Amino acid sequence: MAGLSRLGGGRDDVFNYQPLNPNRSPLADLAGLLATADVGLLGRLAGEVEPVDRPRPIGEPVPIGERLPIAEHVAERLPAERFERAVLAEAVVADHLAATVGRADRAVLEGLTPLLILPPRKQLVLLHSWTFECQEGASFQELCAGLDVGLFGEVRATPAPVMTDTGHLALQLTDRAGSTQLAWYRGPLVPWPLTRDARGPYHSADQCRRISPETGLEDIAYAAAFEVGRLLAAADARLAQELMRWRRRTFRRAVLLDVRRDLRVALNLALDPALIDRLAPRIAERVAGSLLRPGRPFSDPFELGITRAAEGLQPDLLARAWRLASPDQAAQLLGASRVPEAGGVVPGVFERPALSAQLEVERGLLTRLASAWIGAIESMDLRRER
Amino acid sequence: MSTKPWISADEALRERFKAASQLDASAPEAELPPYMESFLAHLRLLVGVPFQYLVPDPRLLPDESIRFFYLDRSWTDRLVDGAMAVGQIGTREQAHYHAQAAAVHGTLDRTERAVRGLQRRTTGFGVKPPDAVRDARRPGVSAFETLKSKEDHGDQAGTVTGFLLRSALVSGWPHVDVRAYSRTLEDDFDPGDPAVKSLQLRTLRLERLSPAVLIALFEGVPELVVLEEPHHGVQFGVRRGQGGVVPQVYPRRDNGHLWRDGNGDLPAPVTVPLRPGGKNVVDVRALRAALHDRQTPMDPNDPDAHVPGQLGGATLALQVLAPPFRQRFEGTQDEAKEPPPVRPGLAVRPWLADERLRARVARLREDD
Repeated sequence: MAGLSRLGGGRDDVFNYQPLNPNRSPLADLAGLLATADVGLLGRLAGEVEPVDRPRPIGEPVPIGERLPIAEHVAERLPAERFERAVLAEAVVADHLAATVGRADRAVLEGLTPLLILPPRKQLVLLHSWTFECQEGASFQELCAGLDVGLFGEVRATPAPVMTDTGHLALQLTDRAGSTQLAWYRGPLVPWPLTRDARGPYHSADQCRRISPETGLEDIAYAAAFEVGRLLAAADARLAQELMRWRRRTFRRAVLLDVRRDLRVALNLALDPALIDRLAPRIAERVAGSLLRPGRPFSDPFELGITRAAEGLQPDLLARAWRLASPDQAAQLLGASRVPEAGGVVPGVFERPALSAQLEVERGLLTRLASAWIGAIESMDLRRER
Repeated sequence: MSTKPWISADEALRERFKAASQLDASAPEAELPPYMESFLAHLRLLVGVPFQYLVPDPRLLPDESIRFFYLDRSWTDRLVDGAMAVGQIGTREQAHYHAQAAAVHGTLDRTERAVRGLQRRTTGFGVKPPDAVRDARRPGVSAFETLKSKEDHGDQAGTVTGFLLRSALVSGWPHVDVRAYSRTLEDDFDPGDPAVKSLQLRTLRLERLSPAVLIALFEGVPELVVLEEPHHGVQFGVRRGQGGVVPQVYPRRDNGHLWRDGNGDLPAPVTVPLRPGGKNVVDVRALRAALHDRQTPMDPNDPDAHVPGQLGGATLALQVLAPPFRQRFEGTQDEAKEPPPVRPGLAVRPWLADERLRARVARLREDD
């Protein structure tokens, strides 16, 4: 209440305050004044600060003890008439100053007591004091410092549980027969890095049971893990459905691929004899044609000479073997005619253009048929027969 | 050549039941459904596993303790095997899983990295199916798929480590900041620094199992684990000095960092004045005056070595900053000088290392 006395010996009607904006609260006006560097104005209201001629730039540091000049333009906005009443609230003003005025003006507060002037009907709640009880009894830092730090498996309590140095804990196990026995168990948390078991996958919990030869007891750690996984998954209805759907999808796909493969095998068998029979002369014909083309150097690039030297293709030999009148007759039987350019005998079967054209048509048909079949198989969806 | 002109679907299916080799794992049809993959990946990180299976004896995790561990990969693989055993009613399913298991485990090795992202988006495991969470940026694509593609770097999963913390820390500061680093760092390192970030291990899981128990899993073996008080805006306060009851304030530079001399040591702290009455109420005015007295340069050779000259409200606030405390766990030395752990009564490991025993076991196997 020191500020009140400075204001003029306890007078309660110093200024008549006119709000700058009738729609805003006087408190907002005051905050605005504080935000525009007007501690000096407050000082003037308190009768502490004398106006100076030279305005000091806002934000310039104020040495401790020096009084702050008035911001004239702001001061003019407040009519210097009488107030009905003035109420002081030191703490609130100090907060406003800290929030709005900033670092430069903290010093000013040393020299003067700021005022908050309120209309009479406003009341201010001030949290004067409060008590609370901290049950945890320690701060974050103290709790951290008090932590018992160690690797998993370290036990400081006594009596300690029965454990091996591999981290296995002796537990009572009730087996299927209903009898109780000791068994080793170790959870997934271990104090050392372990090698990952590459012998999986396992298909039942019993597959994961181990006998420890050192102690003669059973190690049920992995069997327990298997059961936990199985029970958790079985508890999730959607997972079970998804699992079945996944299996069914892969089965169906695999079956479809199998059927396609078998069909291909079957189709190839049906096509083979026809193709082989018809294609052999076709290939031979192409070889002969390329050989007989004019202008080529004499050679035997396709080993036609060897073919011609075959006994079954020698008119002389044939004539003798079949007791024909002449080799020409044998050559005619072979279907050959003399080709002047090559100067040799070529079996006539190679010179049947009509057959060749027919072959082309047939081969094309067969190819189209085969590809149509394969296409049909590929696009076939498999339905299980009932 | 034996001729098999045609095969019926029934016949093919029967053949398939008997065939040991199944559909190639790379076929698109063999891909795991998203829900299943997400479920199994959660399982890999022990999500949903009852606490008694993790800590079979309460003495393994007493009050106010932290226990570091490696994750036993075989154990988590068996969890997945068990989950896949649902509906395995015959040899057909067994043969199927036997053929697909390697691919399934390989997929999960990568998917488990996306679990934390999923857990942070959903309100908890089982509350919402993870793949129901839609990715707002990519309509039609689940958040799970987005996360998976983001976290999938193609490399296989390595060692997983972590810790269990049972303390009032967890209940009092539920959002405690936990980070692990592959190398030891300076005391006041900046976690946002890219060089520091590159050393940070991926956090695979960070979850409260109960109000006072926290589990954390990291990918890799950390050399430094940091527990940091959660950041809730700017905090002010004073702390008691070493072993004393008198609160102290260490001077700070105008950038907010603690002032240190050339050796990295802190200067003498400013003792915080208290109001009379023995109620531990700070006398703010006297504290400001005491800090003002310390404005003289602390090191004449270092022109920057002083607290800011102007002691306004902001500067006072700067001096009484109480940044979140950071607890470091590093090395293998126990600085707290706790009683040594009880030695287990049964020593099996030396036996396992015994060559004669190994030879006997090998002979037994041969006899089989």
